Amino acid sequence: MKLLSDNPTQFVLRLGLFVYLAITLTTFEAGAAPSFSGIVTPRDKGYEGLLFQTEEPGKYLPAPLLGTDVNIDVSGIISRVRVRHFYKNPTEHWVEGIYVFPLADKSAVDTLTMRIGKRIIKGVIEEKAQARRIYNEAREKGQRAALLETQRPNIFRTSVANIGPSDGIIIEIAYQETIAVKNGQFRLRFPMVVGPRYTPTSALLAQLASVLSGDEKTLPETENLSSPILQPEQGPLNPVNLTVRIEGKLPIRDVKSHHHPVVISNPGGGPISVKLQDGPVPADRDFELTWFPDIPRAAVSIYTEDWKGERYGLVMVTPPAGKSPQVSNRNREIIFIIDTSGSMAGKSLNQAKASLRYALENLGHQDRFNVIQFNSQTSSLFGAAVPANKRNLSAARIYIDDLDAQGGTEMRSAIRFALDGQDDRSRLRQVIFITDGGVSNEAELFQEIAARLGDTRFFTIGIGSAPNQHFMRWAAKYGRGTFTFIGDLDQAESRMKELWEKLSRPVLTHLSIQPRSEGFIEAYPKMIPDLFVGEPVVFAFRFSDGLKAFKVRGQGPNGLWSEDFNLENASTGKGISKLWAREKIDNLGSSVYWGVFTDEVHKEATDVALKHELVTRYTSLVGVDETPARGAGEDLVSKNMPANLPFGWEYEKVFGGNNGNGMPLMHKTLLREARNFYQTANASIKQVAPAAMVQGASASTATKILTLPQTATPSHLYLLIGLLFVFSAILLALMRVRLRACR
Amino acid sequence: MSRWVLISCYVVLLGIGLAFIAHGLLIPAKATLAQYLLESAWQKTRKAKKTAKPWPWADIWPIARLTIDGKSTLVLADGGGESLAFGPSHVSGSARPGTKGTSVISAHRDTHFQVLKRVKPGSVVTLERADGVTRGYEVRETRVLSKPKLLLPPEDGRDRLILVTCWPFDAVVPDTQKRFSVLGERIR
Repeated sequence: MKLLSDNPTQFVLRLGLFVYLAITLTTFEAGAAPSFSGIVTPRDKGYEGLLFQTEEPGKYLPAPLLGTDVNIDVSGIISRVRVRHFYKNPTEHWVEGIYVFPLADKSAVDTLTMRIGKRIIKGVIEEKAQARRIYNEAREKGQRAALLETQRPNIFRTSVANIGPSDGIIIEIAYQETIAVKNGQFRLRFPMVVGPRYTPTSALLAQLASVLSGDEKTLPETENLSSPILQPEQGPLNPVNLTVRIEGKLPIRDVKSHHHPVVISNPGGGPISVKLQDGPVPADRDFELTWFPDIPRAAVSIYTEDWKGERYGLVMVTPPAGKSPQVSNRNREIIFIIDTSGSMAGKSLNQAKASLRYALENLGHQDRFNVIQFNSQTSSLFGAAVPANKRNLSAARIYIDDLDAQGGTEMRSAIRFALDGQDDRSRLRQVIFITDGGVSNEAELFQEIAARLGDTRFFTIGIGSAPNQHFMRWAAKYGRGTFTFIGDLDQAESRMKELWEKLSRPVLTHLSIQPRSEGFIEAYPKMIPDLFVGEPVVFAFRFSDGLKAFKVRGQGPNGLWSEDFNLENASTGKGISKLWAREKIDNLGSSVYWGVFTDEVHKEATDVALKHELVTRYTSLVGVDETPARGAGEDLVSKNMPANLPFGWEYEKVFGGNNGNGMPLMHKTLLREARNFYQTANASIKQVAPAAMVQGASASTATKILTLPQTATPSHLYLLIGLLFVFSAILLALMRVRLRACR
Repeated sequence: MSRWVLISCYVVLLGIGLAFIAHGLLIPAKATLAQYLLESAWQKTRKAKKTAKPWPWADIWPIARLTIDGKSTLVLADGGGESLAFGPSHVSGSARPGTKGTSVISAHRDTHFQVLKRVKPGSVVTLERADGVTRGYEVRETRVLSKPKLLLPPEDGRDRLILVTCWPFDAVVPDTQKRFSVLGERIR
């Protein structure tokens, strides 16, 4: 990296700015009650007033009204979603509408259509910066234009320029996704609202490289991440109407909507239609629909599509049915790694110990195990894994009781120690990594895990109130394991139990896809997780024309398992190529994200996105109506569409106080603050070496939110009760004396 | 006969009342007494440069001396709630008192941190470490938190001390979500 290439002062300042931003973003977006966060510096008492000043209090333009119409077509495990946003401008001004909205994590967005009256303008895919340029140009020229961008895999933003006074515009977007399947249940989810989002500092830190290398575009992006939040008394906005059609050859049962009342009908035995019972609903909670196909094992497992002369496919591999498989005939070896760095001190370590104890108690006699701890150094209980006999287990118990948290977080050597990189399919080797993830060298650690994994599976357990979940999720992904989050001590046992169940019965490991005849098959995801009971895995693939069948192989509990899939009589599905492209970009993206950023990777991802017309981090959809709409003399006013606060959240709790304009203002102050910091912190930062800055930042991420103990004693209460009793005793006595005197 | 019933009634009432009063008094008594015992442990700690325990079976030990408005108390290492009965305690997860970064110390509103009532922006709080180094913190701001959660300020090179206790101060019922917090910045 050419981090230090230009001016070193500049570098340190940028670094400082970035770290500051990262931390303030984290502290703010964790969304807690009024608190000491970076934004509200102690001297900045009247910050709310200050915020309003920038936006002129009392002078609000009514926001363009908005409605949303959603149509979902489900066919087997593929769903095609069409979302229409209605923008209406009730003002006498020309406005620009900006709306941030969530979509499912893996949605492949490929269509943007703008309708103004009878005119229809189709969006075309462009490289991201280029799309932005086209849009900005059109906006300046007074042409109507729409731009659809994404900033995170699941958050999208449309901008619509030049909505005329009292004008209406419909923006339609469409995407594909696959339906999630768990234990035979199909689950469709449509997210409706962007919550004030917790931004993991580490994720921001990970963008450090691009910021430092001069590409500061990542900074202002965070400014636009969320829409302003409506004050509750303004009433819910953005009514959403939603319909779902489920077709397919299979009868289905138990269709259930989890958060919205719906009407389910099945006219003439055709596709099932699901409609909202009371018409449009406010967009304040996610829509979730589940159902079961009416046969025990879904036969709907393979689809193909011909697209531009290429052949694509989608396959759902379901773990072999039957009894819970035995693992006794494979050598199981479990390595526990426990983080005993300073940030784990106190409750976190106790949770970690509780989880460890649970695991130890549930080891079988034939299992082998070891316990590794690391802080600034790595040490282990045994030199190598030992049988889980009585003597070894009691030694482990003592070892765990005595663990004490202090020092730094040097994960690397612990990971090295645990992963030996060997590939021996007869053994079942699992590493369980318990940590709060307070590290900043994630990229390095991921590489370490990926390179040394071999046949081992790496499971992460996140501990504490604010673990670095990003790190743990991805570590588990690279390690082909899973991530478990334990938020408090009470959860330790139940969560560990779930994980343990899973660990004890992987159905298939070492999955691979191979063509049965001449030809090739390019399948994603590349990092294939193990298959567990009830959790099928879906592959998207491209294959050569002549290929008639392929084979999925894996290591089962009773030896090699394989299943043939015939491509010739597969059902045809639509949009599979897009799903494949999306998976492929994700796969490329994961390496980009973690510092292995090369121009080739960037170019390849962009090419795939352009070819398949997908909105990604590298590409956007942009549509322009060539006829200018707004005259040269008229001004354009930019508005953020307000979003509803997620259901069940309290406005004051999230934003603290009556700051009516919500997030973007906060971000504006944030950026202003950052700029101030950029200037004032000059002197203090210069003395700190860059590496130390990053270290410091990561140390603070581990302790962002503290839970404060109960600090009120019942002393006063006891005294009061006591006095009450004594007083009544005296009163009674006095009354008796009186009575006697009277007599 | 009924006279005896009545008398035993008084006695029982009186007994319960006194028991409650004793219980109520025990809390501040324990808090005060513990500080005396801690004082000698602190002296030992200071001399031997090694943590000393106030009584042999104690699982608490002093790590710093905190002086607020002329009143000094010994701060204990975090003992998971139990230590609060004896003195202000360091909240784990924050920096060690008197070191770099932000340290958080909490104590009971009706014993050791009753004094926070009188703290105003501009007051100076001092903290003496076991190695004899004394730090002064000037109070910048006091604030009521609506939940027992505290977001630490970013690490920007400034050393801070945050003192927290339950709020409101004079409430009788001990069950509260609110916390009173005092933010001090190091001035020496």
